[in-house]
Amino acid sequence: MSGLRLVPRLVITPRRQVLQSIVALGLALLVGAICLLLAGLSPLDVYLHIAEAGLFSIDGLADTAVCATPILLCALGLLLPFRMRLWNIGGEGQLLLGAWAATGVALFLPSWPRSLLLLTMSLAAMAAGGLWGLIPGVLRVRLRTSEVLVSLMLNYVALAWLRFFVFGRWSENGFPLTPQLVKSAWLPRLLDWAERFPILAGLPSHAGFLWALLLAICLGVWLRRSPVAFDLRVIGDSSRAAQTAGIPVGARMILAMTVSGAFCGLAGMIEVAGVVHRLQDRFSPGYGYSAIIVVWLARLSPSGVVLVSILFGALLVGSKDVKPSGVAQLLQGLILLTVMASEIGLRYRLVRTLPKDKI
Amino acid sequence: MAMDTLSQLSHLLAAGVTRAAPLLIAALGAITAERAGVLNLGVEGVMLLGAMTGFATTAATANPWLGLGSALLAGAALGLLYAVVVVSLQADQVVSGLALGFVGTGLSAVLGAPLAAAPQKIVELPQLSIPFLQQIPLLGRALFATSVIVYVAFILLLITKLLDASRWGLHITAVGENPSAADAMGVPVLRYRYACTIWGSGLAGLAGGGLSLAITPMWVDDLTAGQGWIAVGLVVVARWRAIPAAWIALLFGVLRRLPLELQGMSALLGNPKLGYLFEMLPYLGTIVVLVIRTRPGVGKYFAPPSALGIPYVRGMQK
Amino acid sequence: MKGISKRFPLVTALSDVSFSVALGEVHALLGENGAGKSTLMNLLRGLLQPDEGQILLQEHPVTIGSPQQAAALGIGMVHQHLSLVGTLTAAENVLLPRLPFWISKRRLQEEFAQLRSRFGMTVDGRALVAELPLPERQQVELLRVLAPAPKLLILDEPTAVLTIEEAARLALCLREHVGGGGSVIYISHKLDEVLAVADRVTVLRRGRVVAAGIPTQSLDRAELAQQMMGEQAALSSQLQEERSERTGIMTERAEILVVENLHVESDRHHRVLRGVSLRLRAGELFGIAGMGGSGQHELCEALLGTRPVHSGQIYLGGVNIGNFPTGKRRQLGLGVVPEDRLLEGVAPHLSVAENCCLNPQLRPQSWLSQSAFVRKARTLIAQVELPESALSAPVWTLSGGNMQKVILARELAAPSLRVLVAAYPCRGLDIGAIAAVHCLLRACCQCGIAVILLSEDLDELLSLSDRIAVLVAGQLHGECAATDADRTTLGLLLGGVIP
Repeated sequence: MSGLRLVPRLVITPRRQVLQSIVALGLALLVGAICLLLAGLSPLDVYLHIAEAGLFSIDGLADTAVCATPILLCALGLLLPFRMRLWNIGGEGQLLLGAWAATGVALFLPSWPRSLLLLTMSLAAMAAGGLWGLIPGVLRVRLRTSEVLVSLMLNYVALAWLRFFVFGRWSENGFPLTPQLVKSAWLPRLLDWAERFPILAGLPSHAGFLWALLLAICLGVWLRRSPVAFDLRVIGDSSRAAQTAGIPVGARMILAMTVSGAFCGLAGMIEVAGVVHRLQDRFSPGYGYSAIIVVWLARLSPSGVVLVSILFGALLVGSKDVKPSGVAQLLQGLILLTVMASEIGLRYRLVRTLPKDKI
Repeated sequence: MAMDTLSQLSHLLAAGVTRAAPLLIAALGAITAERAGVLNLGVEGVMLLGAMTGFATTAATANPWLGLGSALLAGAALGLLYAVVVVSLQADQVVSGLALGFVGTGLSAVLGAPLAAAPQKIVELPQLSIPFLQQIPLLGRALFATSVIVYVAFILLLITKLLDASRWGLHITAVGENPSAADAMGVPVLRYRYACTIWGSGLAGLAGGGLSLAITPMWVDDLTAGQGWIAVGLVVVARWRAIPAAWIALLFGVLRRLPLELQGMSALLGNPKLGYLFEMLPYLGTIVVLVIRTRPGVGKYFAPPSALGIPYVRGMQK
Repeated sequence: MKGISKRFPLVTALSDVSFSVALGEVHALLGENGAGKSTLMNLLRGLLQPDEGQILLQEHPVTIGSPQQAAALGIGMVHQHLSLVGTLTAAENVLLPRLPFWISKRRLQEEFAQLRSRFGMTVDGRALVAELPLPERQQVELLRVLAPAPKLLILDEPTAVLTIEEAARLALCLREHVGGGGSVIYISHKLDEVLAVADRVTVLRRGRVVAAGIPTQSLDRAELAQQMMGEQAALSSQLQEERSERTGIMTERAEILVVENLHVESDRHHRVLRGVSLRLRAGELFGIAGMGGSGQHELCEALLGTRPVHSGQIYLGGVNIGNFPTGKRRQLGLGVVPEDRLLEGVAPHLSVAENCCLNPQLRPQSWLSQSAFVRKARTLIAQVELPESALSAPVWTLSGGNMQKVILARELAAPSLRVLVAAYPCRGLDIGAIAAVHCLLRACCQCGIAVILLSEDLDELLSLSDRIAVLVAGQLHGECAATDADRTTLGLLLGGVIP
C-alpha cells in the first residue's frame, strides 16, 4: 500500500483546536468570497466593511455588544443540551416567547418600580422560554420523539403566537407592533449617561451585555465544578454508560432542555427591554439560529461562546447595511460547514504509508 | 348545501394535493438518502436554494421546465457538497445538516436579492387536465386537472417504489442498515451514499422549484416557511417508506392549506386576527402526528435505518 | 503467509508469523483469546495491512487492500460478528452481490433453494434475518460466503453459537466445499472441534506460531493444549478442595439477591426471559453459562434497571427493587460489569480518573475539580495495578484489559456493594488481564459480595463458580454446585439441547 492513510489521534490539544478553527474560518471566507462574486459583489469590500463597521469603531463596538447579547445568552443556554448531544434547535422560538412574556408583564404592570418590573419580566421570560424548551425535552424522554423536529416546529408555532399578538391583541393602531413600553421597563443604557459624559452619546449598549457576561462566568464555573454538569458530560459522551452508572439520564435531559429554553427566553426579554422597547414582528434576525452555530464554533466551551458571540455580533452589525441581506447568514453557515468538515483533521492525522508491496 | 360542501371539499382537496406535491418530493429524496444512512437536516435550506434558482432561471428564460431542471441541479450541487462533508470527511450529520441549511438559506437570500427587490410575474408550470378523469367527483379535480408538479411527484413516487424491487434498492437498504456487511458483500458503500445524498438533495431542490414555479409563484426570502423541516419530519412519520409518505404528505398539504380556508371562519368568529393562530396548524399537526407515530411500542417494524447518521469507516466494527 | 508482523499502537499483535494452507485441506488455527488469530484473519481479509512480511496466494505475492480485493482473489470469510443485513431476507442477503437489476422474488428464492440444498442447509429464504435465531443466521452467513465458491474460506469461531447437530452439519458442508477444490482456514480455541474437522493444525500464542502445520492424525492433545495455554495449567486439585469447603460454609449465609419468576421482553417485544428464578447468598459466585442471545443481555439490563420488567420480582437484601431506577439500585448495593465495555462501561473520551467516578455515589464530595477526580481515582486504581500515569489519558486509548480494570475498580469501590453482576468480563482480554479479573472476582466473594458471572467459557465458570446454571432460550436449566457439575450435560445444554 502506498499513499496516505488516516490514523486516529490519541490526544487533541487546545492549540490544535484553535488552529483548526482558524483554518476553517479562512476557508469559509474564501468560499463566501466566491458566492459574493457570483452575486456581483466585491468580496474584499464586503469583508472590510463588516470588519470596520462591526469591530473597529466605538459606535460599531457598542452596536456589536448589543447584537452579541442575545446570541450570547441563547448560546449559553444551548450549550447544556448540546453537551449531551441533545439538539435544541428551538432557541429562536424560546427567545420569541420570552420576549412575548416580558412584553406582557411590562404592558400590564406599567406602574411597578423599575427593579421589580425588570425582575418580573426576566422571570416571566425565563418561564415562558423554559416551558418552550421543556416540551421537546419531555416528549423526547417520555415518548422518544425527535427533539430536533419538535423544537424546530415550535419555532414556527411561537412565531405565529407572537404575530397573533403583535398584529392583533396588542397592536398599536393596526401596525405590527405593540405600544412602546414604559421607561421603567427599559434596561439602563450607556447613552443614558450622555449628559454627564458626552462621549457616550449615541451608544446603545445596555446592561444586558454585562448580565450575559456574568451569566457566562457563572455557567463556566458551574460546568466545571458541579456534579450535575459532570453528568451532562458523561451523558454526552455515552448515554448508555451514564445509564449503566446510575445517572438519571431522562431527568438530566429534561433539565438541560428547560434551562436552555429559559436562557433563550431571557435573551428575548433583554432584546425587548434593552433594544426595541416594544414587541414587533421580525425583531429577531434569527439570533436563536446563530446561537447554534456559535455553540458549535466555540466547541461547547463558555469562554469560547463569549468570544464567538462577539465576533458574530460584529458580523451581524457589519453586514446590516450590506445588500443583499443574506450575507451574514451565508457566512455563518459556511463557517459552520467548514468547521464541521475540518473536524476530521482533529480526530485523525494523515500518515504517508510507504510503498512496500512492490518488492 | 350538500353540493356546496362537496365542491368546497373538492376544492380543499385539490389545493391540498398541490401543496402536498413539493412536500412529498422533498420527503422522497430524504427517504432515499436516509435509507442509505445519510441524515440531511438541511432540506429546508436546499429547498430554498432550489426555489430561488428555479424562479431566477424561469424569469430569465421564460421556460419553467428549465427552471425546474436548474432547481434540481442546484439541490444536487448542495448535496454533493454535503456528501463530501459527511460521507468523505465523516462530520457529524446533525450539525453539518444544520450548517447546510444555513448555507442554502443564506445563499438563496444573497443570490435572490435582486429578484426579491423587484417582484415580477413569471411563466408558471402548466396545469395538465386529463379528459374524462377530471370529471370524477371529489377526486377528479385534485388528481387529474392539476399542476404538472403533482404529476412529477407521482412519477417520483413510482420511481422510489420501483427502486425497492431493484438491485439498487436492496443495496441502499444494506448500506444504511449495516454498511460493514454491505462492504463485505462487495457493495460500494461510499459510492451509494454519495449517490443517495445527491439524489435526495436534488429532489429537495426540485421540491423548492415546484414551490416557486407552481404553488406560490414568486420569490421572497424564506419562501418555504419550514416546509423542508416538515418534509424531514414526514420521513420519520412515514417510517422511511414511500407510500405512507404520500398519504401523510397529503394530510400535511391539507393542513397547510387549512389556515387559508379558515380565514373566512375567523372573520365569522368576529376576530380576523385569529388567522394568525391558524397558521400554527401545520406545525402543531406535524408535532402531534410525530408524537403519535413514533412513540415507543407502536408498529412492528418501526425503526430507523440502523446506520442512520453514522459515518462509515472501513475496518471499524460497531 | 510469510514472516507477518503487525503492531498496534499499544501491542504487537503478531510477530514473524508464517503458515500455509494447501489446496483441498481444512487447516485449523488454534489459539487463546488474544493470541492474534483475528488480526491474522483481518490481514487476509484486507481490513488491515501487515507491517512486515507478505502474503502469497498460489505462489504469487498479493496485496489485499480491501474486502472487495480479498473477495476478488477468492477469499471468503465468516466472521465472529456476522455480516448480515437484518432488514433483508435470508435469500436477499445471500445473493446480494450477484443480483440482476430487476429482482424477481420467485427467481431469487429458487436460486437460494438450490444453493441451500447443495450445502445441506435448512434456513428459510423468505425470513427476515433479524428474526432468525442465531444458528440459522450463521447458516445464512455461510451460504453467503460459499455462494461465489471462494478458493479460500476462512471461518472465525464458527461453532460459538451452533448446536451439536449444527456443528456436524457445518463439518459436512466444509467437506463438500473442500471436495470441490477449495481450502478452509478454521479458527477456534476448541480442541475437540478442531480435531473433528481439520486436516492440519497451527497453534498461535501471543502473536507467535508455537506449532506449525501438524497433521491431526499424529497429534498429542495434552501437549497441544499446553502449547496453546502457555504456563497456565488446568485447575489444580487444591483449589477444588478449597471450593468444596466453601460450598459448606455458603449454605449458612443469608440470601442477598432473590429473583423470582422474571419475565422480560426484548426491544422487538419478544419474550426473551421466561420465568427466571435464582437465589444468591452473600459471598457466593453464581455462574450462568450460555451463548449470547439467549437472554443474557436482557437479564443484566433487568437486574440493573435499564430494561422494564414484564413480570416477576427482584429482591435485593429483602427490598423489592423491580421498579427502582438504576441509581437507587446501585445505592442499595448493586454493581455491574457490563457486557460491552466500550459502549456501556465507560465514557470513552473522558479521562481514566473521571471514569473512575462515573457512578454518582462515587463522586468526590461537593464541588468537582480535576484534582479531586485524580485524588479519588488514585485510591481506586491502586488495587487493580494500573499505572498512575494513565489517570489523565482518555479511556478509549487503554487496552481492553486495562479498561476492564478501570470498570472493576470503580464497581468494587462502591461502599454499599453487595451484589456484582459481571457479564462476560473476560471477553476479548489477553491472558494476563483474564487472570487479574478472575483474581478480583475471587477477592470479591471473599469479602462477602455475591457475584453473578455470565460467561460463554465453561472452563472459566467451572473454575470460579460455587453454583452454575445454563441460560437457554430465556430459562435457567441444570442448576447445580460447580463441584458436581457434569461437563457433558452442561455442554449439551449449552448446545441448546434441553432435556
